[in-house]
Amino acid sequence: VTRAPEPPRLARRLLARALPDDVREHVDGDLLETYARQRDRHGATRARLWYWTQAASFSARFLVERLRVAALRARRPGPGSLRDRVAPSALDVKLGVRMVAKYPGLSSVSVLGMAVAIAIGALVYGFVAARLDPTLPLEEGDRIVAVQTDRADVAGDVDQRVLHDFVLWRTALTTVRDLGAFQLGDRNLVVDDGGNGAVAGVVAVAEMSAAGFRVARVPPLLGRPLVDDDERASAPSVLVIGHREWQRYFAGDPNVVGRTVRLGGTPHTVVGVMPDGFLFPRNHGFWVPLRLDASQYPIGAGPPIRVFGRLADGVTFEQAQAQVATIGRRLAATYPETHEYRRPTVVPFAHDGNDGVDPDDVWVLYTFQLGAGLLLVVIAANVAALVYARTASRTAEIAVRTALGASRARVITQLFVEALVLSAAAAALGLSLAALALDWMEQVLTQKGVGVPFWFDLGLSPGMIAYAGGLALACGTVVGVVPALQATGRRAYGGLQQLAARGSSMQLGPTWTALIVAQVAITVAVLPASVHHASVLLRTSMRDSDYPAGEFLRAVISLDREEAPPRADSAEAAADQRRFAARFASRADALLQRLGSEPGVTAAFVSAFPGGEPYRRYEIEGAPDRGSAVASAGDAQTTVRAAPSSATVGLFELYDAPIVAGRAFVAADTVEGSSAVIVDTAFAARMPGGHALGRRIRRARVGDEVGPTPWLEIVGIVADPRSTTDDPDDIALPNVYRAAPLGALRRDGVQEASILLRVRTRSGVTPAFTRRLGDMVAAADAGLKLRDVRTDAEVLRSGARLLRTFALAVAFATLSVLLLSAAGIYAMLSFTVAQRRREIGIRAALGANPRRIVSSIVTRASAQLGAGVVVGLTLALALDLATGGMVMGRPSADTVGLRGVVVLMPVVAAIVMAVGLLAALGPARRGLAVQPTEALRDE
Amino acid sequence: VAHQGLGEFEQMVLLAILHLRGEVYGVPIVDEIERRTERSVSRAAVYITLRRLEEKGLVSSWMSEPTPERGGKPRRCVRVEPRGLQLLRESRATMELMWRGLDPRLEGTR
Repeated sequence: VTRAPEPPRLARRLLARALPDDVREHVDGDLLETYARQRDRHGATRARLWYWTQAASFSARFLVERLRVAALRARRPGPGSLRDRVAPSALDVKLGVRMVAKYPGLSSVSVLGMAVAIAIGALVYGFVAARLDPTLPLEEGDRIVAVQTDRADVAGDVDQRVLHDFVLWRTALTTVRDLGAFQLGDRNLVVDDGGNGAVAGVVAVAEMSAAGFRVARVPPLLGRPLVDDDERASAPSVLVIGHREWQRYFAGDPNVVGRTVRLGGTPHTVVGVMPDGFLFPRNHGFWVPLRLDASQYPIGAGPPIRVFGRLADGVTFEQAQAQVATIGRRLAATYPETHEYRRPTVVPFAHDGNDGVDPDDVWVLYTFQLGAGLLLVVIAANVAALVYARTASRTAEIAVRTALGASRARVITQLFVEALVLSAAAAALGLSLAALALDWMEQVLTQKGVGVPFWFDLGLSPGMIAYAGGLALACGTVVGVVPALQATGRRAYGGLQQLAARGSSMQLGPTWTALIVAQVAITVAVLPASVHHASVLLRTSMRDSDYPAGEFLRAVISLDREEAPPRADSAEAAADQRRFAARFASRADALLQRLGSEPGVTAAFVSAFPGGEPYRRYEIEGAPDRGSAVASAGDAQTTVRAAPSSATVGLFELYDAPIVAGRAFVAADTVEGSSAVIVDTAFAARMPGGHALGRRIRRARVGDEVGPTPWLEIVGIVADPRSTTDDPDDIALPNVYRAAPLGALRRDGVQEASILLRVRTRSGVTPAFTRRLGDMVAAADAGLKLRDVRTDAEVLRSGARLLRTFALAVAFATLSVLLLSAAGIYAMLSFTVAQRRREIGIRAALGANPRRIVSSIVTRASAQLGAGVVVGLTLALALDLATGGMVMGRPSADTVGLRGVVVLMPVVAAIVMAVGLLAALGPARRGLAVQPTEALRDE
Repeated sequence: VAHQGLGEFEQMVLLAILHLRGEVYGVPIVDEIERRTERSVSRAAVYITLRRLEEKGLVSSWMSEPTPERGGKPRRCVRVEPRGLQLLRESRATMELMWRGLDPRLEGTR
């Protein structure tokens, strides 16, 4: 059995970026081959280490090789040319590296700060780019499109029941070629290995037109792709599998073509294997032909499908759009009842359905990016201040170089290159941080079983690297060129004159004061909020669950339809649906009873798992509505945010949750139209006026819903151990429960229906219990599938890990900003005071009272710092108002709402003041220590 | 390409290709050099050398069919071109001219 080699993914990705195009493929293959050999000989750990070494070696050597080739190509300019006089040399780089080593503190603080900012900037850029302009990693992927039918009557709604339209488009559209459609679903895969037919698992299957393979332009690795003939109803059932699946379920069997597997109840013959990385249309590894007969459905009906194609040669996006719109108008005129509001449009394939971005949201993304950019500006300005102070101390050196014949441009170039060394190191570190973050994100997503569409490349994209490079260049400019411009020029000659007097000085002005004020303001405005949010996240992640999470299990139960439903919107279809629903209900009931008969086991069906419920706002009867409450926003809460869920009767027994007021659910509450709800104590605590029992609430309207939702009466209050917390910043929301019949909890799909199962076993979930659960499910019905089985403990653990990591990331970014701010404020203030050292000495020599001198310095520094604090507080308040409490946290429900951030702000302000005053006092004392004779001699 | 002699490493790579039979690509070339010289060589250096040799027209290459155990990646197979053979012969002749008559002295100093 050949297993596919799995070298470290991050290393492989780095390698792929580092290698030139012409060698990437075969070097990757050669290394995979050797890696497999290493692993067989020396074990996985040593093989991985070996692979990392190779990745590093290849990256470094090919980088040098590229530089060598570039150097050979570049012609050297003649002597004395402008380029020669200004162009940075290796010596500049060497000097830059030497400066880094000479000031290790300044360098590490600067590099760390800029690295964090560049990492965040690159990540945000990558995210925004992936959302706004996803590129399909396929040949001419930008010409692959989806034909999507928007509803003109419901904003943002997409109509997927377009089978008839699709058939028409296929013949009428000349601007889009290879039109195809697909449906997504999952099935039980049964791989026949030696006759016992073990279920291999539930797999995602794409039912796709053969055109999909033509559109993607990827040939199969083995066998053949799907062809148009496979779509005939009478054709044998065939299946194409992906590389990953081939390795996983067939152990890479080279004779897999021709083998038979079962998907659900139907045997399928494997006809082809697609190469590694082919996941079209979403994240798929199983493809079966899409067999739909439009004549079976009335116009405007049919199963939901998604339509795709490739722009014909020479056709622009707009031309295709125009043709599709024309056909759409014609259809709307012919079939007004069904097509009046249908607006077919051509969109980039990756924007299809919910994967794209609402144009209205684009600015949110850009704001996000702008915010990350601002962070970098703040940090770069800080580093610039630090470097400026250093540059100022080098006026003499610059003067000497100028006197020896260096042009101003040459000196600036040198200082620029020095800064660039810093920012390049920061970019390298930042990109590594970003790569780690992405790798971690991918792990989390894979663990959660989220199928990321194949065009989401969760890795460093060339765009991100270029963006980081641009950021580094911008940083280098701010950090190097601005101070250099200040330090050179006419002042350099002044510097030379002063060199004779063994001193150095750069002028300071109002700019300096403004910088200090801005610096302090931003620190005071931004830091407390960020510390607060990090601590809330951390607190939430650390909180122990108050219920025995190890006893709870969640799973999805689904039932395949035995055969395809009757292809008509007829009485027959309705009868079939009733039959299927009855079968589903009887199987689910049987399962529930089997579970109930187990000792210590309770179970219920639910509409959503804890934490997975949608968030909704509830209006409370008698409380002023939101419109009139705007003026007093903040003190009177008129709506309560909560997580609604429905369940079969018995949910509270499952949790041992006592009813503290009112009553529990009874069978009558499950009848459709029942208005009984039970809220938890957390919800009751948030009700204005305190009491909840007997009051009526209703769900606030969502999106385009028309008319009010029905009033619901609170018949009971439950003390739910999972949600009782009085932390106003808690992310967990209060719960609103309704009782529902089994049928209302069923989620109907095309091929199957599913329901969510909650099980508690008092003896704790063991592997043996999980196996028994699987047996019970299989015993209830062969078509019944059990999937996504997880214990609450697992879910909580992974959730906590996610939060903790995120909190740490926020804390890390905050800390580096604080560090830099302190360093920047220190550098600026000590520099301004140091400028006055001689003045201080002279004043002391002339007999001024030392205390008065110090107090004048402290007063001036305090004024600058104080102004900063005031501006900062104003900024924070303004931001808080503008974002509706996003900056300073939510006030608690019942107290007057002292926000966590309000406590933090004076603390941060005090720290900033202390740092600033310390910075001012040091040079002041040194100034006072100067002997009066010395101070006068300097003049 | 102007006339250039072959570097030591280039010669080693060319000779390793000539020693091998069947599909000659990166992995066996590295193995062959390591086996014969009993030293480990940098893989990256071998691939860079192969690339340079091809640029100079001393070897030619073609892609083989992708195979599954390599994650569906093709092999780049190489062959020494007549011009490569000629330069190898010249290098050997040059070195032999330089070596001629030195054996007694080298033996003596040992």
